[in-house]
Amino acid sequence: MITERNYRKLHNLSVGYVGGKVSLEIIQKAVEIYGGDGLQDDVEYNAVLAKSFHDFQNNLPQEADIVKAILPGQTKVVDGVMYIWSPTKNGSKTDYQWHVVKKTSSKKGGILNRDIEDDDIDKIQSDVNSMFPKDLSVLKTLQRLGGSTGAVLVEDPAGNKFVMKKGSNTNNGHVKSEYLTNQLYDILGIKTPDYEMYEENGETVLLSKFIPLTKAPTSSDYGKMAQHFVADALLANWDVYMNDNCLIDAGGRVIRVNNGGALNYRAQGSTKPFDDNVVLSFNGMVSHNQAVYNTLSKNDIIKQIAEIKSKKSDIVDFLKESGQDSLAATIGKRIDNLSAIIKNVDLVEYLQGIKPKQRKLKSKNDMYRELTDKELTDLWDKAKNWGGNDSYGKIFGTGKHGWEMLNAICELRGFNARPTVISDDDYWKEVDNNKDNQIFRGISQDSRNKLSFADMAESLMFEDDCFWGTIGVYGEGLYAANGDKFGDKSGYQNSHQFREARSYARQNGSGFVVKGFIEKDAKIAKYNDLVNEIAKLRNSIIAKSGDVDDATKDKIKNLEAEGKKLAKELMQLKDEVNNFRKNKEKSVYDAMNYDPSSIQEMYAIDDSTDWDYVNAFGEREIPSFKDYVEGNMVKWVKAQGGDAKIGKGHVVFSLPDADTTLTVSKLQYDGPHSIKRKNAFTPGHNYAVNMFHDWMAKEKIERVSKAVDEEIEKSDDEFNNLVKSVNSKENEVKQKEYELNNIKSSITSGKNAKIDSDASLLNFIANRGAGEVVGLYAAIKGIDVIEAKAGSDLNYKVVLNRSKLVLSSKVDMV
Amino acid sequence: MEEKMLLSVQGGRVTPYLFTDKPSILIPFKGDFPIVSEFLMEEFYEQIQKNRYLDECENWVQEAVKKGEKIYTVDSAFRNYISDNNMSVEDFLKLSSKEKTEMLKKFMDSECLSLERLVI
Repeated sequence: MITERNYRKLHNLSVGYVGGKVSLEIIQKAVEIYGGDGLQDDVEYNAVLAKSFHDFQNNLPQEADIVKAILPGQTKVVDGVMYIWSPTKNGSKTDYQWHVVKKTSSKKGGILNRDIEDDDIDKIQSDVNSMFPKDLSVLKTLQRLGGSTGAVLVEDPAGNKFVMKKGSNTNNGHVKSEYLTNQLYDILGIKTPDYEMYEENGETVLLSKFIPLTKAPTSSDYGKMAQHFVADALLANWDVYMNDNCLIDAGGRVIRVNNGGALNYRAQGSTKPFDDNVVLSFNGMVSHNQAVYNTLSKNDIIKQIAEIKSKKSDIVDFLKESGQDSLAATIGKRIDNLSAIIKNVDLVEYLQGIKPKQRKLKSKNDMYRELTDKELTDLWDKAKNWGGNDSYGKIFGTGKHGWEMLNAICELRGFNARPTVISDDDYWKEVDNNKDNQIFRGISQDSRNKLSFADMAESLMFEDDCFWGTIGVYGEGLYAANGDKFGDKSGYQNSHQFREARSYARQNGSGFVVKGFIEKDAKIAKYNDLVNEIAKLRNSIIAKSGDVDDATKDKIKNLEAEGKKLAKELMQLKDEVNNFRKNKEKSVYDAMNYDPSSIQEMYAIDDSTDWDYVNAFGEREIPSFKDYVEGNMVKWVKAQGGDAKIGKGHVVFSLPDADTTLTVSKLQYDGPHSIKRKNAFTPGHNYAVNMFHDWMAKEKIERVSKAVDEEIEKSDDEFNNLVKSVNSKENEVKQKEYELNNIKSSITSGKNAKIDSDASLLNFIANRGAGEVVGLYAAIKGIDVIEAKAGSDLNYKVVLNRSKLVLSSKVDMV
Repeated sequence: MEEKMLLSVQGGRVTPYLFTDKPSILIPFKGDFPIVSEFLMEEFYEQIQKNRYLDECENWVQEAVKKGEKIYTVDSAFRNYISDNNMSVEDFLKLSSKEKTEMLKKFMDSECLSLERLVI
């Protein structure tokens, strides 16, 4: 039975609806809330509705008792058309009648009888989410959750747990911003915990539903996390992929649980710039979340952008209706600017249209002369520019040329001069005479999105300044793939070497492959031969005043072997520490008959069900009660060791050790008011299904989560002992290093002597011995190309003299 | 189609950061360094050169590379940032602590990074 007060509220809202101030969605929600429990399911009430509508359709007068009984704002769908019971204009015989629904926007302005208080609308909004306590004073604090925002875990008298964040910990604006971000994610269809915001004594408080048994994501979850990469960039949620801000729930779903560092706020509560430059946000997030980003293809990104653009009006309207006009404008522009992310350059045609300028090459004598000691010393001094005084920085320091030390050496020799670029037809003619030196170089998308494909291709093929790259386990230099078998014009894309280059090109999602060959007269040296030469260099650097005694040699050999053994053991212990929790979890799952895959299926099926779907006749179409409740839900409960009693029009579920059972009725599941929504812009959800999820979470998932925590706690000693072992092993390793360095420092001759790496370029190369420094050594010695074996019929050619390359102007996009 | 990252790339780009007590001369990373003892340098290179993908390597190599990557992305980006601001590394190192911190902060803002990124 509706109270007089609530009836008046509904009447006022209906008047507001007619005046265009209140939306249909608000009215519908208000009818659900103020109409009283069960009225919408009441048979007699529905009979009244049917009678009234019948009279309306047949132009009969409405009976007075009927008019009084129907709730203002009541809606009804007949033959695919929605009608609303709303006030008529002045002068008609009845105050209310059925009217066809038309879309309204809630604008402020004069209406028929009286202004509607915005408070009424706000009140309805806050009443909608009935899963949250009405009053914060009933909440009991359970524990602090850590982190800079002072979040705490709280519990209501019914045992429901929430994460609470207060404005007093950071500031009210920060908390409101997180609330707003969550709402924006909702509109975008991206999962966050269920949430509600409160204002209490001038302090803003955010409550989010606590989700039990969540895990930090692993690399296998990156694909799922990346499904909303563009949206995260749009909202500038910088830290979303770190520090457990994204968690994986028992359903295997990604939940963005901590969104305080989005929009114009940092995670700790201070403000940050937030303007329409979404490309900057995107590029930044790509650079620092590559493992996540790399799971996306270019088409994925295009699709994500299209999806966000399709929701632009929902997002902007929502923000305006929330009084956030400035943010609405900024986000609207950011959405528009998403298109700039995708640069679709037709690289193949562009490059073939470039006319290469004439090259200026040094003479052969100049290119291959021996570098003087002074030149090498000057190089080492010059390296301060990119490496400071640190020898590591000088060798490995990178800048606009990639490896700067390599570039400096190659500039001296003229090795950085442009390659020869010829037409594709000419390439195939000329490479026929030089099959052994055919090469393919793969170039991937710039991970920082600062350089387009055209920029990178032009740099390699047409510009005098060379970019040498920044990675080189077989030596610093330009890497290309070369095969023992020649790749001809019709079949080169199937060759091992092309596929290798293509793999490189696709490292950041997409790229292109340049084909070419190395001139016949290029000086090529094998990687292993160069490593041996460096070893000889090492000996020649050391003072030749005799060798150490055998006892010292043995001591050094033993120390190195012991050190290596200890270092390996240390790594294995660290591995055990990292996997400790995972192993304990599994043992608990087995003991408690917990089936995670069934829980995942439970959530996945709900996510993939369109609860709003309406067929051509205006009737809602959702999975039947028999299939979903009597079928799926029963299956999921039984998979967790529970039971289900199927009655007439209802099912009673129970779980072992649960405090409560759950009954789901047909009326709850597919009755006229079974579909709810958070606000006007979010998709609908099935209330009975949500109840079921909540019950499963509370009675099973949470218990399992608690048991896991207890098991981990019980294993505290075991874990602490493991950590102690790691610390102890680390000390042992350090001790061995110390002893070894001490002995070597005291030796001034022989192969066991320690070389001062900081003293010169050649000293560092000699001490390091292999890897990147081999490229530097080769360049110093005037070698054009290093060859390293990479497989049975595959080689890497590490090019140090770019002028020895001949490239086709036609590239392959991959 | 997405390509799995090759180990020669993934491992190769982090080798400068693994075997030293101070992985970066520019950025004050915090963590347990060196990430890999020098005793294991030779074995590390062998693993990187002989395997194709990271998950084929022993766990300790995988863990080391993942830690190295966290340093690599920030350090390499900051070097580019310094260069984009017409400054050499040497010039940056000559700045006062306050100036260095300011520049680092501006860089982190432009890259959407929080301070937690510096903890390895």
